[in-house]
Amino acid sequence: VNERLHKCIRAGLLIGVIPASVLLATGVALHILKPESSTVHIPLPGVLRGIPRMEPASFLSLGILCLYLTPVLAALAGAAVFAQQRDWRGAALTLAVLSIIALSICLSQR
Amino acid sequence: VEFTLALLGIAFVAGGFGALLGVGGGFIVVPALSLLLGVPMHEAIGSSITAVIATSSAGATSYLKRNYVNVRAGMLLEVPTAIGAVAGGLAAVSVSGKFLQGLFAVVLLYISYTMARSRDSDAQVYAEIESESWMAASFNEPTTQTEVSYVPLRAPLAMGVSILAGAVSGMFGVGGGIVKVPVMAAIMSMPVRAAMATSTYMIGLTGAASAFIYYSHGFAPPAIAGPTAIGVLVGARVGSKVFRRVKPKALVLLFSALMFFSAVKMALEAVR
Repeated sequence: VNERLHKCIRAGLLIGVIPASVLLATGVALHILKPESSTVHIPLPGVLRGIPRMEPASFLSLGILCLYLTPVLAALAGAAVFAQQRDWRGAALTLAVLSIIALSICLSQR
Repeated sequence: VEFTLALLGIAFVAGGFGALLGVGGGFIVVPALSLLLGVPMHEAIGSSITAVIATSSAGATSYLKRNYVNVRAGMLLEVPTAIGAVAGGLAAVSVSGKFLQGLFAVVLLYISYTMARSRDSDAQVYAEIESESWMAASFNEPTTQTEVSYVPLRAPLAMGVSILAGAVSGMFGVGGGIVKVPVMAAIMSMPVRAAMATSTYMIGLTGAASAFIYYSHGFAPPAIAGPTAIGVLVGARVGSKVFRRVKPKALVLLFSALMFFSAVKMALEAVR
């Protein structure tokens, strides 16, 4: 029972952490080439805009956000397995944690 | 370029230690960024949260594969922990950097003291096992090659203390593992290895609960948080591999001494 749960959470972590690593590594390499353009903070809605122009700050910010969403993705995978196994206590607790994170995102945008 | 390379190096060391000790590495990242590289306290904390999530994500994959993580116990404790983390994050962005630095020094001193006094609980006996318990789990202890089965106990008390773990994490940009590991090992009677691995998994979720608050306030600058996260990712990967072969006690003492030194330095900076 635990094996399937662990496997799916692990898959969720890898699905998030691999693109995050690629984006961050690309961003760090671009930042070393043009360091002056990486210091700006990019608000959430504007993160994707600098990607076509190969702006390091955009790659780094997108990588950071991917990283933030990695544990969320893993927890979603865990909740799905809990629900599939009819472990409603596990599913409810995981969804409660995800709701708190969602609330935090909403509060941060105010 | 030198600054970025220094960031990468510090983050690599922090990630390795974080995975080894199940504490997320933030207790090394924040003082290192603030004291060694002069990064403002709020930005050091925001970058550290990013690093803490990276440590958790990289370290937990390895521990999940080896069955060390108790996901059910982790989710039970994560509900109050995440609430504490959001509250801690909101509080941190509304106080001054100097104030945070002073508080951080106090927390570091406490950590240094508790880690130096902690006992090796590998010798605990887990005889009375109720295999029907919802949180019951087992794993293979690599140092002795024996199957360790256990049932986490006293969940309500552990949940209450976990709010503090979350608040510490959200306010100081650390994983909160320094509270989570003792809660699981001492209060819930979980084996140290399972407590550290479960803490590593939980740390990512705790970090995510406050990370967006720091990001939105501009306290996770891409040029600092990005290289820090990459260095920590690589360090955590190496650290989690070493974790299987070492007894935690020697590392705990080394970490304790390092924390004491950082606490004194941070306190001096805060009153300057």
